[in-house]
Amino acid sequence: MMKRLKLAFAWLLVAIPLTWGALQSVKKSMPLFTERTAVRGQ
Amino acid sequence: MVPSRKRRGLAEIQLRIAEFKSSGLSKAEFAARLGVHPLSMERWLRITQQTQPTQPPQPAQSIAFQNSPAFVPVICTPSASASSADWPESVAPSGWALRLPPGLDPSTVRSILDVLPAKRPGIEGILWNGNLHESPLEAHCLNNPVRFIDRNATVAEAGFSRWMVPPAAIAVHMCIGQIYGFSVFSKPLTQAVKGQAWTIPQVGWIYSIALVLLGLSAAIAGKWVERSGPRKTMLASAACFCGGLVISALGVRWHQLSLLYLGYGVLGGVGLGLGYIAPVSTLMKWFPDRPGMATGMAIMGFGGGALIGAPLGVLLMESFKSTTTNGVAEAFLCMAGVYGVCMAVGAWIVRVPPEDWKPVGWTPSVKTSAMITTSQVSVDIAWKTPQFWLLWIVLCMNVSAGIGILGQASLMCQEMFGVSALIGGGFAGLLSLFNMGGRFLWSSVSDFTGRKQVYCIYFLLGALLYCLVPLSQRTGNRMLFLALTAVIISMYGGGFATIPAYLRDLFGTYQVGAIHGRLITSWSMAALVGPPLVNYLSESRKKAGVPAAEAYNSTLYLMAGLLLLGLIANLCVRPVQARHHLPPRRLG
Repeated sequence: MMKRLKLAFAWLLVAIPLTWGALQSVKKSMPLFTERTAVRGQ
Repeated sequence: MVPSRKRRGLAEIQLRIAEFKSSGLSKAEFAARLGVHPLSMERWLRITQQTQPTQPPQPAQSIAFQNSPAFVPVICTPSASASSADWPESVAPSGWALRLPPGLDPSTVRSILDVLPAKRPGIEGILWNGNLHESPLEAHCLNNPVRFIDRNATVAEAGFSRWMVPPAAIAVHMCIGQIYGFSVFSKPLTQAVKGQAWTIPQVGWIYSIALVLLGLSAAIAGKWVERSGPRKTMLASAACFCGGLVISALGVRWHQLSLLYLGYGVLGGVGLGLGYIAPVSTLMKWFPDRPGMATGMAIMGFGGGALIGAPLGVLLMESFKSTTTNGVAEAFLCMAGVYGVCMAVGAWIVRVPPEDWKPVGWTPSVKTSAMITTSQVSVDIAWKTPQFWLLWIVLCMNVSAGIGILGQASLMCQEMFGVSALIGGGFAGLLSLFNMGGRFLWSSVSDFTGRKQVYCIYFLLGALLYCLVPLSQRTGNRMLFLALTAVIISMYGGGFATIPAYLRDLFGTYQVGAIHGRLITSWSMAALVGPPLVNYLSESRKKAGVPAAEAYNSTLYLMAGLLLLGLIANLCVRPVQARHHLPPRRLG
């Protein structure tokens, strides 16, 4: 039981920040799909 | 039972010296052939002169030992954990050890050690308190208890799950990967609260120094990393990286740019180099069945570090920003604390496998591939082989080509498609995700396809996709552009993550971390030369009157060319010649 808890803790230690970072990146990339108008017409 | 501390016995030293005497080679030449330091040869010669010749145990003696409860069979496996790091790894040698009671006085044990091999031929040493001690090389160890940070203290206990090691490795890589997010500090650092403002090129040198020191420290300290084990290295990395952040915070506070060069650049760069190679080589030893996936996990953490470092830096600066400070120094201090704890936890969790450990139910494949060696090559020999330099070119071309897009992703998207900076930033964010995912995905794929084949895919497909990007611009197809660049960047990440497994295939696991360390100099080189080259080319095209939307085309074709150079280098990679392999060692 203790071993499983340790394993879960170890993975959570890295999974939480990585997920947060990935979400920040997804949030940042949203305009790529939502913004439709070109501001500098070609 | 196999003890955790294993050492080469006197008999083997005498065997090597006998080989040396009959070889007709000089000490230096023979040392180079064995992949050991010449000083080791001197020491072995001294040892053999001081002791009587030792013969391997005769069958009758072996039976006598076997029947005696005082003697236990041992596998004497010189390894990177030994105090002599230049001893090659092998699983074959076996011998006998005298088991002593655990409560015996150390001085008594030491005196027994000093006379044992000469009196009882074939005995490798003594087994005392679970450790194998060999005379005379090991006698000093008796008075030096194993410390928490020593490699021997990290040998996994029975029942330890190997799945504990990837998070430990990712924790360290995730922290040092913050270097990729350094750019968020560039602009605030140029907005001085007091004194003369720094310029962007001045601040840019911090990043460049860190990358150069990353390569140099990994190359120079690689052997030390192998010898010291992952825990000591991870803690040293944490001390350097977080110490560098603290010094940088002082530099910002006192407005001393030299302190930033010293802190984030030099000290932080050393922390990056140490922290990059140690977890990778440890993971490969834990996952002999899936080395590509293992290295992919760790190096994915490095890519993830960029995703975390940049928004975290912005968040902290905004939190601490006031009329008296731009928040950079405080952000550096906070990051030093958070990263320090995370890296320390990683160092606490990490373990190395026992020498004879194998995954449950896994047996090494009997179907051999010429590109996967079962022999070992030392770092001092490996870096003189053509294979090493071909892989150096492979990594350098892969990194240079990837940086071509990553370095100016936002601007490229804006100018090629005439979109806003917001969308350009979104494009850069999306590429970071694919960069991270590709590290794990492609590296795992290489376990099934083979390393050489997967690099051929990176280079051929990459070059083709680079040539198609201008087409997406001409047709104004933003989604095609996105898809093409996403695949290219995922392969760029994959190239990073697959290289340690490629090295392992060619040179074996012995000192693979040190070899990887030396190979990383190509990354430093590419990171220094690549971006200025790309910037210069696109700027010169714009100055020549080419429309901004088309100015990147020549850059993209250049990237395709670089990938083709990498492909040629990869196709030239052949198995390492047997003369470079360390000789197998067998006692008795």
